[in-house]
Amino acid sequence: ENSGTAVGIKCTDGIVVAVGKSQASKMLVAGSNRRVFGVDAHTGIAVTGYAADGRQVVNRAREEAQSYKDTYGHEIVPSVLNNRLSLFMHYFTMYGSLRPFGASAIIASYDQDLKMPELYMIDPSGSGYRFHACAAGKGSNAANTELEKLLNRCGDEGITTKDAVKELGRILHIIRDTSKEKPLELEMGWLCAESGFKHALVPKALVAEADEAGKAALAGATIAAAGGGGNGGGATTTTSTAAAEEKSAMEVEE
Amino acid sequence: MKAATSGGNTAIAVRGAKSAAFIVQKKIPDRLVDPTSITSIYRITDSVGCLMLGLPADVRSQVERLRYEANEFAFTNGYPQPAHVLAKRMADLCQVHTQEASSRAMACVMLIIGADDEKGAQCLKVDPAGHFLPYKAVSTGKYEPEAMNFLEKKVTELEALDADGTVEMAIQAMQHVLSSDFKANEIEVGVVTTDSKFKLLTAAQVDQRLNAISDRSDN
Repeated sequence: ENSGTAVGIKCTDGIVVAVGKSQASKMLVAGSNRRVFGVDAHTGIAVTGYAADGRQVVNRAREEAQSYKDTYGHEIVPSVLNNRLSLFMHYFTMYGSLRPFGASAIIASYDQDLKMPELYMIDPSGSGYRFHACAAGKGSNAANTELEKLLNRCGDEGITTKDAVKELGRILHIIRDTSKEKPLELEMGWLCAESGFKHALVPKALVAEADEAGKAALAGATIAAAGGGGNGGGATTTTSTAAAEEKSAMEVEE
Repeated sequence: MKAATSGGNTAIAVRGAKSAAFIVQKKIPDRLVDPTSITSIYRITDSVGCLMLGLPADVRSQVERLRYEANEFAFTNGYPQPAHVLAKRMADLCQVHTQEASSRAMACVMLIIGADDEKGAQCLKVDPAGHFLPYKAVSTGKYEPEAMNFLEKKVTELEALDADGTVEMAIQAMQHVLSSDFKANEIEVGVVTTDSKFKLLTAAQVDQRLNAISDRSDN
């Protein structure tokens, strides 16, 4: 519960996951201390909690995906990966000689048979459910509230991945207590229809925009709070058509 | 044991001569969860189904083990594992966890129903201590005492019930303990008979049973 917050949301055209990391020190190179990992071509996992435990969970996910591919000749199905990883994490809760993983995993994946993106979250006890939107880690309560509000606002139409990138950035900023915490570094991954639902890190430009939107929202919120009124933290952002066209800049995780 | 039934749900299982059914409430914890991924009822084989209440992770692990055991039995012995044999096996496994110092008991209660040509329909309950018994009707969870009371009064009628009858008896028991009517999408119902495979009833099929019950009570 002391690490950053991870959030994920299922969109009409894919899934976006984001982790808000506290910059432990200014000496750290931006982009180090990874929390969002690729597991297979169409699957990514965001972890929160002990980073080392999270990495182990991701390693196991990668092994499961690989062995499934070898055995069945088909990329691992999201519900199966959820099942395997849940059972794996549960195993460590069973025996006295082992300790549970101090990490939660948010699985973003695309089911090629159902042709639907699926979002799962597994907590340290090993219980994994499918979500429309989920949050884990330090600010998960506040984030869950914000996500519910977001889902209510979007209603049946849902949200697109591009909007979700901005919204998640905004949520990760406003749930923090900026006076007490270190600056936020955003790490985001997505599966979106345009890229054939392959998992990738969100292009830096879009992440930066989400970051700015988040900071503006935070500033708006504090002004509103101080002024006792106002627009409640909504922020206007520049349209991202130029950045969105740079699909070639996407990094694909092996 | 308390952890297994602290979920707030109630489950009821009923067996007739050739058919067995169980019913459980379907509660969605919050709006963010995808409701289709929440279930307490699991198909183990074509002839055996299981309803589990308890810690979700333990439930999932036990379901995997049930499926493994059932398939292993069928492979080794060449015929589908009867429900009571499977229940005994799972009960033994639960007991081992209570005796080994380094492991903890699985916090889940299982209601196993099955039907085969040897014994007809069966209904058994396995608890974390490794204790199991076959039942004509049983319940577990939050409203266990009230449901058991209701079922005890009806126990003589149970043998004569057909597939629809066992489902309706289970639904009536649930209505009685919850003291309210519910819609088809607030409950899950599983049925198995000697003539048909284990299946989860669709909302439409549950509605048919609910309508049949209310028509009878109107008469």
